[in-house]
Amino acid sequence: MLRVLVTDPGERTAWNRDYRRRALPRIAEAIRAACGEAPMFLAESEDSRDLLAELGLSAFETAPNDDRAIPLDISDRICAPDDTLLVVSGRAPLLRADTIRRALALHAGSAGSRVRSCVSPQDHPCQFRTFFAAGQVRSGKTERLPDQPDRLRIAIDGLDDRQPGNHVVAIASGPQGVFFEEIPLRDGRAAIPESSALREGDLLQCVVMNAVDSGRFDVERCYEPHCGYWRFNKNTKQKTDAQGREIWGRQVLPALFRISDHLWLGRGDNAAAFRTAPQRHTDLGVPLADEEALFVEAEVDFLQLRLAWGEF
Amino acid sequence: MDADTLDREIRLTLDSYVALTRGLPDEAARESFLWSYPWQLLSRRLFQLGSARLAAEAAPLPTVVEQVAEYGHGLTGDPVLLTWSPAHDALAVTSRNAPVIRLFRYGAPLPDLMGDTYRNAAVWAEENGLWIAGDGGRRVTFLNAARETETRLDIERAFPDRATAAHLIHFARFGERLYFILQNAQGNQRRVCSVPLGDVDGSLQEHPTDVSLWPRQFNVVDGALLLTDHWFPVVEALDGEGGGFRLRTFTFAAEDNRGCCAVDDGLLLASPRRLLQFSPAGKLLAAGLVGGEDRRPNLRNITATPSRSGTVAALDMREVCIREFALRNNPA
Repeated sequence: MLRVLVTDPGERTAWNRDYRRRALPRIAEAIRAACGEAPMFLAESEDSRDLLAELGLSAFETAPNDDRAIPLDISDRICAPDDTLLVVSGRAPLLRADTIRRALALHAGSAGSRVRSCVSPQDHPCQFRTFFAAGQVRSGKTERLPDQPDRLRIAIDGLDDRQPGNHVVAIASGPQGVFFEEIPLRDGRAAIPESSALREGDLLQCVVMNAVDSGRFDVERCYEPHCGYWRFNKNTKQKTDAQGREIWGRQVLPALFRISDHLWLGRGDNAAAFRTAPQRHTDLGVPLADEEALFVEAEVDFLQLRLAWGEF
Repeated sequence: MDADTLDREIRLTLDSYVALTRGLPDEAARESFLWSYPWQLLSRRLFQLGSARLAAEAAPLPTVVEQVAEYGHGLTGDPVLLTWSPAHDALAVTSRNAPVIRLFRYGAPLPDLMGDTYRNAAVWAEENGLWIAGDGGRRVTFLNAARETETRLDIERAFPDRATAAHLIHFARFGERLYFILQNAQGNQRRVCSVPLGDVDGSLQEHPTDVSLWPRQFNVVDGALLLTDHWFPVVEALDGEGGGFRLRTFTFAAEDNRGCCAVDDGLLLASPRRLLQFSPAGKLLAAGLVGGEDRRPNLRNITATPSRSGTVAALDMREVCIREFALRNNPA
């Protein structure tokens, strides 16, 4: 059985009350058009309850909560563990019925996987960069940590680890030529990760890299996700996607979505996992079109909504 | 940081560069190190320290640069190199694309040298004439004081493999041999070779460099053939006629090396905006910022003009002209 919840957009401000009065009926209408179910609206305050009654919408009273989240304590009161629970944010007034239908179809066809809404990121992380100034250059040697003999460190003291991002680029000469590794700092020392190719006694040339947020920099580094969705070649400064194609501009940025709070769909007994990190290999995403991605959190968003409604 | 600390930091950084370069097992490893991320880090750090070192100079530097002439505006064909030819009492300027060498005497243009062999040429001046290595013509000719030319080497025959000798960067006559800096077609290797003078089919001799991965220019100072690098402030000297180049001294740099010339038994190095004078041991003797904050030049090459008045001529690519500078004693 399908249960539908709409979260309470909260806030006792004049614009928000006006927003709720006008947006919540539209959200209910979209849900009804998508699945034929009348949604239950969470009411976290007396003000919300009165407004929902005034609008003729079903209310379910609950304690004040972070309105972006599902109040976890109530999921077992409104649905059985094997029910399907659809949660729509009360701040997503432009969500379309066909998007909700697509989410339901995804869930039905995937043996109960969680489905989350997702949107195009305003800033693509492929364009994120950090900046570093090359600091001291020192000769060094790898040695065992006195208290952890199975771990290695670089024998250079006094490294400044106060600034997050500071690290050491350890450059070693091997039979194949020069290779380098970036070693994070801990307690003023460069602690070599276990996965490192560096071995005990290796002679190194080390460049201390200091993260900077303004002024002169020597090196800029692009953000690289652990999953390898794109890579940055530090030598050539070239970015390539997972297929090895060069990312030469915005036009070829890898398709990527940010998980949003517009919509959540899952089994009733899985409601507690609503805000947990997405499961990369099991969760599914339903992308929202730019036109329906508005998430109303401030008065300026409400103005944008009214613009979308054609009021200006 | 004070000047002494900066000197130590520069030395440590250069020592690291030398240690890494000398540890490279073969030519392939040298190629992959060049332009690599560690290589970039070391060069950036050196430039950063070099800038700080110049700023930290406690006393006024012993000389300042004073511009004494400016001419050759509108030089076309992408001028590349210039050298003072004492035999012609003129400044010779070569171009990357035009088959011409332009000559100037005291700022006034002389009749151009025209011909395909002068396209993209390197030049090497001697007392009795000018050596011209034309990349387009692939020949080395000698131009005597009477402007008569004689072909002395067929580069095509001397270096038949055009993949490894795609570009001639610079050359020098030293002793009885001609020495060349050659760049391969992929742009990831420069090597130094020599052939016997006048012997067209003479055996090619390779001269491995010690730590210079991107050699730029030859100079003869105090009877030694010196080699400078484009990115790292290292000076190497030829170790015997058949040997390689060995690290002789370090200088320091705040920017990349745009050319050098011998001055008073020392070296004058040009960067895009500066002239730095070093003793044979690498001690900074003089430094001058060329132009002002509102008029930043972009120097490409320099040459001393000893038969004129001890000035230094430089190619400025910002306005594409030649500027002559005098190294004056600082009255302060």
